[in-house]
Amino acid sequence: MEAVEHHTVDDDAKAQYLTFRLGEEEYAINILSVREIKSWGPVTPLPQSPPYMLGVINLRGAIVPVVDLRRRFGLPDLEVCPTTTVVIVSAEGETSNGKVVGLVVDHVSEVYHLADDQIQHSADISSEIDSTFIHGLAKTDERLVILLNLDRVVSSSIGSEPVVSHD
Amino acid sequence: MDDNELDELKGIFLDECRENVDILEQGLLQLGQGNDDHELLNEVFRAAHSIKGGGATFGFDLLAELTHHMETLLDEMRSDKRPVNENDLELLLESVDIVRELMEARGDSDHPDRIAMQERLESSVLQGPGASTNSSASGDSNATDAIPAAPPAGYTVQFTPKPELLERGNDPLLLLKELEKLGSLKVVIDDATIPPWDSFDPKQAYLSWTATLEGDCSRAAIEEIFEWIEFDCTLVITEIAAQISEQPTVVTQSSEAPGPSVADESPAADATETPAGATAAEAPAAKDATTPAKPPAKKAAASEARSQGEGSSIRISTEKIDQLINLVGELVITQSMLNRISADGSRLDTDELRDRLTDLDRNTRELQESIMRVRMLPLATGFNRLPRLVRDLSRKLEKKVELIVDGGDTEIDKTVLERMMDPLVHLVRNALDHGLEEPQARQDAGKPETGQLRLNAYHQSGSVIIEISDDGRGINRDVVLNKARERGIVGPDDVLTDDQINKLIFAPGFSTAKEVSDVSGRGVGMDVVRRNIIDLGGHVDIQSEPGSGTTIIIRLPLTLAILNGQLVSVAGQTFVVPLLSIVETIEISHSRRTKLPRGTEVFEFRDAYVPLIRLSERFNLPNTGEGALIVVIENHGQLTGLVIDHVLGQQQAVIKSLDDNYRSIKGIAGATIMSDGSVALILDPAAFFSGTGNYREASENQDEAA
Repeated sequence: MEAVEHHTVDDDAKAQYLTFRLGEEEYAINILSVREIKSWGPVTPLPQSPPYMLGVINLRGAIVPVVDLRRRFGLPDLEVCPTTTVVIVSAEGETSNGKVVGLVVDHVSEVYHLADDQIQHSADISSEIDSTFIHGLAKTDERLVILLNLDRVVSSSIGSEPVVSHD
Repeated sequence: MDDNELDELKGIFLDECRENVDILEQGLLQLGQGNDDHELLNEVFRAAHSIKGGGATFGFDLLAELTHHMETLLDEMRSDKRPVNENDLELLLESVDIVRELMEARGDSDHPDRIAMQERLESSVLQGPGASTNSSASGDSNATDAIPAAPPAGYTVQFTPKPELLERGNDPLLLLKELEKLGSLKVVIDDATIPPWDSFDPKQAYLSWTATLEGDCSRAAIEEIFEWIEFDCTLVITEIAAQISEQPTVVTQSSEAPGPSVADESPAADATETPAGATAAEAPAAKDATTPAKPPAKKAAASEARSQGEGSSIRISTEKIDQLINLVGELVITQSMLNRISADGSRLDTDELRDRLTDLDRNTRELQESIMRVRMLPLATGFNRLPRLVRDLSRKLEKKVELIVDGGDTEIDKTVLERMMDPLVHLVRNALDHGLEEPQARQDAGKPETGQLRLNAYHQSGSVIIEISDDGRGINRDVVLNKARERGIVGPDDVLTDDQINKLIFAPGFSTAKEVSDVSGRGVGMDVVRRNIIDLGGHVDIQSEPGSGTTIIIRLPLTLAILNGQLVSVAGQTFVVPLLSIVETIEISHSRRTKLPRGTEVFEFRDAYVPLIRLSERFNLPNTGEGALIVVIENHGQLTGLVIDHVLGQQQAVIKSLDDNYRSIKGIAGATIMSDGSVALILDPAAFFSGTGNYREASENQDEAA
């Protein structure tokens, strides 16, 4: 949660968000957390890992785990296709600090500029996915995008649960 | 300065502090061995002084307070006011231990013995060099020095900066202004040393001052002003006698005083030098000359190459960095050559391309080797701890020991070094406690009274060998064998070779100490040492000759970052098995397997039943594969068979940790990157052992395998 807010308050201008699609819905993460975007490639499966943990890849010498976001969010599986993308993010939360993780998404769509007041923080947003993964909602050009709580997504996926704080 | 910056500075200070504590400790030990070189004393003093100064600056007040008391005692030694004696050194060494603990607590908590230690140091200073022989004159003067009969009317301060004072950013004028705050000040300037105009260098300090300070202030207050530049100037503080007759204080230079005479460097000391035993009243004026501080000539030399291996930082020689820069330079050249070749689109010169790729290959390999070398530290960083240990232990055990260390410059990976120290300390303790005899017993055996403990380190075919040998009584094989029989480690009818009996001391639960002593034999024995060394990918061996000594030979890998791996495939996935742990690979069709009632599968291997683990099941791999081969692996003397499909090639694997970005997984030691860029998982042999098993059978097997 800190990760996203941190970049919006220090600056009156709008923060940039990268959005991607999982099925019909569009999700956004702060662009400063994004390390790079890769096309889908083979992963080395890890034993004793949950189904959404697809395995590890070699990112220029670093071993990076890859999370299938569809499976993580409990959405139906989708066949890998040419647009399937791995978004490499670096989480900045307290528990996931500095961890680099790949997130598999259907495809990357756009970069939005969002001001803080465009973001609606609400504890009970009804959505297909677990609300603890959601940081807020934002309306842009008649579209609704879901801002993800990246720290929560990452830290819950790699095994160390964050201390959930409601502020 | 924000908190982060301050924390960073504190970290640097603590790093330096560790270095200084080491210098202090080693210096004190050398002093104890009769080396009373003045430069050594100065070095020790400077180390204490730096800890004190830094401690006060960064808010480690307890540390500063204790080192202040140590410094006072050292200062007296340094200025020949007291001879170097055993009691003081012992006191100082004990203080060093407390300093170390205070330091590691980062000033958060006090040490229970600190106050008591300060009082002991203080009373030692007050008492003067009690038991020493030449105490008559210096003892008296010390007493008067410490308890002046009446406060002096003032001081004359002779302040002669070294030429480089200004270059270090100090301003004499500010110092004199500070001095003025202490009382009424008259300053006489001495400009006699100013050179002719054409050879005048404005960056050098030529002037000196004689200041007369009248007022009620302490000598310490004056010294404090000049504290930070005491190595950059010559400072002579002289008391001005008060009108009332008083007991004058004198630095008496005893003729028996050890070390080179201070008078050589100090013109003022000449005036005060009186023969031992003469009364101080003969001195021309009531004077007390502080010894001028010596130039910091060897300061740099003192701190060289004494990096401490325990901090998170690492000190790298510039030579190593230069080498890296050269290699990177070559890499850049090779890359631009490759660019040129590929840019020429019309025709591709494959010969040249191949040549350049060969260059690239060599560059990359050299770069990898050099980078690995950056993590290497000389063994001396660890060995330096041992003289103190040996000294303390030999006293406690009342044995005479000479420690000889060879090959301290042998380099080894920092992590290996750190994890090797505990076993090494244990082995040194053992050698002293069990190996070496008491002086009387040695004499009876016709050996010199002083035993020898020898540490020898060297490189051999990609490993580091450390030998710890003593010339003590050796291993008593009868006792060892009987004990092993008693404990059921060896069967009553087994016949063992001498070598096998020696190795029994590494068996779990084996301790030959007749009684549990403070030094060793506290239940954890040589088996822990052996396990620790094997965990590091090393190997330990023992040679012993009854009556003439024991040698323990440790073989360690140069680095933990690379392991020799056997590639195997299981259900289509490639895994790396550490080559060191593989005993043998056998075909499953030739093995005699049995299912135990609990469901565990075992197979017969060298007259023992060994549990069998099917990797594809253990790792829940999607297709179970053929399972055609059994890789027999060994860990702490136990065996296990892993069922795999195929044996692929062997490869040196650079170990990458999984928990950098994920978390550790049971059974997986890490990951490595294969030549095609894909990731392969490295198996952790230790995870396949449940901890049960028969040591006896396994140890026999392991000996055959070795």
